[in-house]
Formats: sequence, structure tokens, C-alpha cells
Amino acid sequence: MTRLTLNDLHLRHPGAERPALDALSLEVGNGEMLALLGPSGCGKTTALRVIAGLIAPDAGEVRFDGLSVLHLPPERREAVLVFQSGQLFAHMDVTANVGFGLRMQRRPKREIAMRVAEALEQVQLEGLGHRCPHELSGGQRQRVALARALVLKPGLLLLDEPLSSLDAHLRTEMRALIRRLQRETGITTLVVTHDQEEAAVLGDRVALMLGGRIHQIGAGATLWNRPADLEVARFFGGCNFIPGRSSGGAFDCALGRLALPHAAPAGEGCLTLRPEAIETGEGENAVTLRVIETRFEGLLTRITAEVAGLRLEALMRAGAARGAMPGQDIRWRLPREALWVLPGV
Amino acid sequence: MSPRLRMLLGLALIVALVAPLLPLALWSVARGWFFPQILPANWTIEPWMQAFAPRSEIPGALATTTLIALAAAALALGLGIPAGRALGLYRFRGKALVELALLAPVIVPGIAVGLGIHGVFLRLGLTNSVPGVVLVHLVPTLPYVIFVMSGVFANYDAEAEAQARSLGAKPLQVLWHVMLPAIAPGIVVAGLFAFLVSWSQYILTLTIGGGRVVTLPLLLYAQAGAGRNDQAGVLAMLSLGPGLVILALVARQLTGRGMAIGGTR
Repeated sequence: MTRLTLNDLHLRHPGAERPALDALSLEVGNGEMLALLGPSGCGKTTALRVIAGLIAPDAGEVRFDGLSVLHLPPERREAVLVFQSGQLFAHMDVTANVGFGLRMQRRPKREIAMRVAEALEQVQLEGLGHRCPHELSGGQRQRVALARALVLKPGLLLLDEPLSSLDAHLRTEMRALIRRLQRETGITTLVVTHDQEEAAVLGDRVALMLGGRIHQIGAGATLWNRPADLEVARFFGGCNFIPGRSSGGAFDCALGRLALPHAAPAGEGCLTLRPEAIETGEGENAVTLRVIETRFEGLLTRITAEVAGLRLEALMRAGAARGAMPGQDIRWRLPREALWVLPGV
Repeated sequence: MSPRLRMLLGLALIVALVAPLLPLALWSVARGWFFPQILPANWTIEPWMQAFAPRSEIPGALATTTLIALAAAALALGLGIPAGRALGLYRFRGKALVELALLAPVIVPGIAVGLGIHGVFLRLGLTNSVPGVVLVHLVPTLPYVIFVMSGVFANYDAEAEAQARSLGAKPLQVLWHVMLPAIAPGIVVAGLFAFLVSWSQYILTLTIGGGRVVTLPLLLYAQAGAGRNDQAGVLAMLSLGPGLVILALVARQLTGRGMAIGGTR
């Protein structure tokens, strides 16, 4: 298993205005599964290709177990990249596809047959070895692509949006499969995704990449509830930003003095809290607002309310939202643990 | 269109295409065929015996033509596949100009091209030789190969190659195990095209070969000019051979029902 280190990677595609990678640094521990999360066009797929050796960076280092691999061609790196589309070879059946890498290494036929059968079993595709790619469903194709990588027992597995081409119910199943296989094999895995939920479920840690560099890295819940800056908060659907000043465990702003959780940054800044964290009723940090608009969004209802020219949005379940009518005053509680301060914004 | 009408129109087309060839076929097996006879009075296989007699030029010409066409097709594929890949896969400055330049030999008359090249080949000592003729046959064959192959590559997903590299394939292994199988049907079609185009060259063979390199079209013109209708008939039938065989082999691909062109993804 391999420890991956990215050091200050820079890359600008020819003719592009903004760099695809901008001082990207990242460390993925031995046997860890890291989810690289970001909107489309943030450079996450480019990063995977640089690690796999398919593109050379303009500057910076890629290290496997501390050793630079930049001089190695893709086929000699300990990393295998699984493409978003699966990229099964159309002229080969499933067995030949899965055995491709081993054949390229000129392994003995018997060993190949054995390891391919084993890999197909791992992804629960026993008995489909003779099928051609066009006879497979989307989920099966993705599993073949996964088996084709796993059969090589790589030190580092790079997955590019492995679930994006699947239906919702298949996605859950595939997610569990990837998670289980990663635990079983212990292969260091970097999975790229644009889906927050996917990142939170798959990754031991989540790294949020915006504009070619990592903005924050940590457990999923940390990124959600303790964003490092405004862009991170916005990416995770944050919409409440209240300017003010944090000092002595409290935040002074247009809403009054609000109690802050332990270790919140001090100084001038912006208070943020997730819309679904707001509760109705009395208690600590309770404020009065006037409801402006309610919008039904399926499972939840989005309520916009205002006080002293400051707007807050809350997402509430049907029961809690029922009392809110436009034009009415309402009491909202902003739970202390849900508040966070973005310093210097 | 009803199936019957389609069948009828198809038959009419075949008749229209085959009819002009019929007299040639008959001449090759006729003895004394004069106006106003509709069919020859006497049938014979003598012209064919003559054509393949020990002193005849025809067997040699058949071998030379085949050799030249094979060599020209192989060379055109060797040059045309990379060129077609570049045109089909990448966008670059001046691409339209390059495409026009590649198409030019098809538009410019062969005699003009041939005379120009003759001067160059003379200095290089390539005139009056089979290698010279093979090289000059690239002028009409290469454009066909490039355009068939660029069409094939336009539908080819080069990401498959990146995937193969990441799975541990060296560049040559990628070429052999990933690219070639994917474009193989296109190679077959382009190669057959090139073979046929070279096979039926007359002007270029005559200009560069200087009459020393004797191919079937050269003999055919000579015999037809000399009024030897029986030998011309035999030669015409021989010249048709590969075309018909190839047509039978790739008819499905050419009508677009097959996978050969543009079906690699």
C-alpha cells in the first residue's frame, strides 16, 4: 500500500485562462480512502491524471511513499486510474478486460485466469466472464472496471466519479461495494466526486477542492459544520452569513449577542450556520424574525425571514414549518453548536 | 417504397452497371463476332489460352500489378493511419488547409502531377522502376486512406489508450492491443480502397514506369488500341476480378449497415 503526497502542484492547460491546479498540496495516508470533492471544472480530474502520470504538471511533486514518481510513465506507477466512463475495451469480453493489465505484465495464463475469477467474485460478477461490454448494464460495467483495477493489486487506486453514470438505487449499492472492497483490500484510494453526500459516505476524510487547490480537508462533518472560509460554506449550501465580531465566546451582530461554541475563531468576521440547523422555539440564542417567504422543497420547506435588514434562511421539516406564514413574526433558536465564525470575511 | 419496387430498381441499376461490361466478356470468348450478329457465331476459349500462353505478357503484368497495388496499399496505410489519426483526433491551426492539400491530388489531373513528379524521380533514379511506380501511386491512394482513417478516428475514443496505459500497458502494447483492434475494420476498408485505386492506375504508371513497368491497365489500353478485342476482353475481365471480390467482401460496410466506418466507439 502506498502513501501519496502531492506537493505544491501547478498546472495550466494550454490556452486556459485560469490554472487547473494552483499550488495543490495533499497527503493521503497508507490505506486511507480520501474523497476529493469539488464542483465540475475545479481541477480534481486533472489532479487524478497528474497522479496517474497521464499529464505532467508544470511544477510541483508527486510522491508515492515519499519518492518522486514524476519521471515514471503511467504504466510503471503503482497507481491505477479508473475512468469515469469505465472505459471497457469494446472488443474484449469481461474476462479479457479484467485480465488486460495482467496480460500486459505477461503473467502466466493460469495465474491470470485464477486472479480474474477472484476479482470477478469480489465485485459479484461470477459467471459473466464471457459477456461483451455492450451486453452489460451500467452498474455491471462499472464493476468490471473496478475489478480490472483491483486485479492488479495496485498500491494506489484512483477513482474518477465512479458513481456518476449510475441510477440512484445502483449508486447506493455501488457505494457500499466500493467502501467494502477498500476496507477488505486496504488499498490507498483517492476518489473524485462532485457529490457531497457521496464524498461524506465514501471518504475517511474529505478534501474540498475549489479553483485548483484544496480549501479544507477533514472529516465530512467538519467541512459541513466548521467551514474554513466563505467558499467552503457556500459550496456546502451555506446561505446564512451574518457580519459581526467574535470575542470571548460570543458574537456581536445585528441579531444581538449570540453564544458561540468552544474554540470558535475570534475577531471580525462572518457568522455562519447551516439552514437546516435552525430550530423553532425559545432558548439560548433565540431571536425574533419576520417571515418573508416560504418555499416547498419536497422533504423540507425553505423559510426566508428577516430582522434589521438581515436575512436568514432555514430548512425545516413540514411540522416545524407549519407555523410560518409570510408577514408573521417568528421565534427561531440558533443552536450554539451549529454556529461558526469565518474570520476576516 | 414497396419491396418489389426496390427490387426492380435494384435490378435496373445492376443491369445498367453490368451491361457495358457484357460485350467485353463476350469478346474474350468469341471467334469472329461481326455486325449484325447479336451473339458471337462461334465460342472459344482461345483468347484465354493465348493470354496465359508462355510467351504472353499478361501473367507477368498480373503479378506486377498485384505487387505494386499491395505495396502501394501497405505504404499508404503506413502513412495514412497516423495522418488520419492526427486529423480525426486533434484540432490544430491550419487543419482545413492541411485537409485541402491532402485532397488536392484527387482534384488535380494525374497527367499534370505525373509530369511534375517525373522530373524529380528522374534525378532520383526512380523512373522506369517498380519502386518508383509504387511511390507515385501514393499520390492517388493516400488521400483515400487518410480520409477513411480520419473518419474512423473521429469516432475513436483516445481515452481508452490512457486507460490502458494506467492499467500497465506500454505504448506499443497500447497500439497493438487497444488501437489496432478498434480501428481494424477501417483499416480493411481503407486498404482495399488503396489497392483498387492503385490497381487501376494508367497515366501515372505510364509516366513514371516509362513503359518498362507493365501493368494490366497498360496492356489493356495497348490491346484495345491495337484492335485486339479478344485480348482486351480477357484483360478487362482480369482487371475486374479484384474489384468484384472486394466489393463482395465489404459491400455491407460500404452501405453503412456495417461497423467499418465510424462504428468504433
